[in-house]
Amino acid sequence: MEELLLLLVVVPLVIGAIIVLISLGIVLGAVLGAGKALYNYGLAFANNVKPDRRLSS
Amino acid sequence: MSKVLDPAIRSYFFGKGYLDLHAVIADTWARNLASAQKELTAMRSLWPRSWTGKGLALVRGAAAASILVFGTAFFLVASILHVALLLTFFLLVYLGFTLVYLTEWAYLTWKGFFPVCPDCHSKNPLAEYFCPKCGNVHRRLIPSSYGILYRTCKCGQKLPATFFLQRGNLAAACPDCKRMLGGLIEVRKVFVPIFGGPAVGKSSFLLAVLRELTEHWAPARGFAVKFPDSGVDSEIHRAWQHLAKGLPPAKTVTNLPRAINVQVDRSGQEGRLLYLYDPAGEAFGETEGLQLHKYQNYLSGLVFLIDPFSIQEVREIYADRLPRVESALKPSQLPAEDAFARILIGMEEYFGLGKGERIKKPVAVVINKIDAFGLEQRIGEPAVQARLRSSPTPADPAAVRNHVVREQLVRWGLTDLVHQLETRCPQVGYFACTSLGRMPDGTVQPLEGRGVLEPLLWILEASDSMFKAERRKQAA
Repeated sequence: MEELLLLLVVVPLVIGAIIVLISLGIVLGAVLGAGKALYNYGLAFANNVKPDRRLSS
Repeated sequence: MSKVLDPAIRSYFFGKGYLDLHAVIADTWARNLASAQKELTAMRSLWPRSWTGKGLALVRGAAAASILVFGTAFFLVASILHVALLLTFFLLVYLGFTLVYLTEWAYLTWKGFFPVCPDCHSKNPLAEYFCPKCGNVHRRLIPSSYGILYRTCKCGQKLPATFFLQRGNLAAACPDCKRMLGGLIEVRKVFVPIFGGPAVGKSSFLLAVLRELTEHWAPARGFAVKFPDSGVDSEIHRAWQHLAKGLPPAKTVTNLPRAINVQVDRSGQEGRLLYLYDPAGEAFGETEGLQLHKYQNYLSGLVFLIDPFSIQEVREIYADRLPRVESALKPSQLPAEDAFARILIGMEEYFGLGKGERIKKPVAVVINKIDAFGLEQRIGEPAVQARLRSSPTPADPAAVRNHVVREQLVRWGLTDLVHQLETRCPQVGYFACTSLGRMPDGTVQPLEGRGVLEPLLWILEASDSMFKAERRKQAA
């Protein structure tokens, strides 16, 4: 009975928890990555877009 | 039209904006790659450790993938917005300067404003302008990608890019011969060449016209007359001083006529620049010389001077007295018919006047030297006044003068010339004058012209609204 309980409840719970943790990790990583990408774009924009017309001819 | 690069700073939306966009994309991509690389390195170092390390490695790995995926997506979306913004401003600026340029072009064309070089006589839609700070040449100072209303020279000086903002006040040069163009470049111009064979007295006539205009006509009407070209003013005053001492003007020596720019303006009113020029008689003697007189392309009217003593009939009438005064009178050797024929040939050959086509500009036919042998009494103002007095009904003095002079030309046997003039020129006016007022005989009595300004005024009134209005005002 205990084995059956373990097989039917605890294992799926553990697997589920692992999947949730992995998913959370991936989502967290994705969010961090997206933030980093946005930050990179912002930096690149700030460093390169200078409408100082004197630099062109 | 070849692209002219001026020493000015181009609008951001026409150059640097796109370079900046490219730099942003390259920089973003490099930063994203570096960030992803960093995350992957961290992931590799965390993975072999504990389960927590493995979990963190998972997060860092996901972050690396996310940076690449979202980074690409971000810069694609942002770049599209960036390009859209740049193109929107590009189009707005383009539309702005095109509209201003077209408005300026239409206004200048309507008003007849264009720079003409007094040296090489080239007519150009635009002069070359100089930056007042660094002296750099701006070859196309118009509303353009360098600026709609103003542009910034590379030295930092702001320059007006359009006529409407007094661009004409900048120093400018002829794009063809590079001669500096003196004042009032962008004003309405009136071109009046003074034609005639050698020794008909063109230089004297021109000087007398300028004197009459400067000393009598302009002050009486509140106008100021200036000679904007450097040195010309003193040259003319020196010639006037010579005339005041009884000395005739020196013979014109150059074959290429140098126009005399005369600035006529009145405060609060748009001025005019008169281009009066005296083609040297020798150049005119050869038909080929006419090709130099490019002004004929855009003349407002022409003065055709006739020396009565170049007419065979007149020579015969005064045959007994002529030899005694020949050196003072200097009769022209080119018959008037030939002189007029040469004008026509030149215009047909070089300026697109069709064979038999009419010259659609007013032509003032002026008999000069009427101070000699009492001609003034016969065809000058006294004759006109006498005819007016004897007229049973009030007559128009201009019409009477026209009739008197024309009649005399016919009497002198110039019927063919009169016929040809009236056939080829729909607007002919006949005048008589004396450019010097008397024969130069070595005495110190001043030489002062009479009747010289009327032919010019008649042309100006026929071709220019300001002079026409002035005449109407006087008549009222």
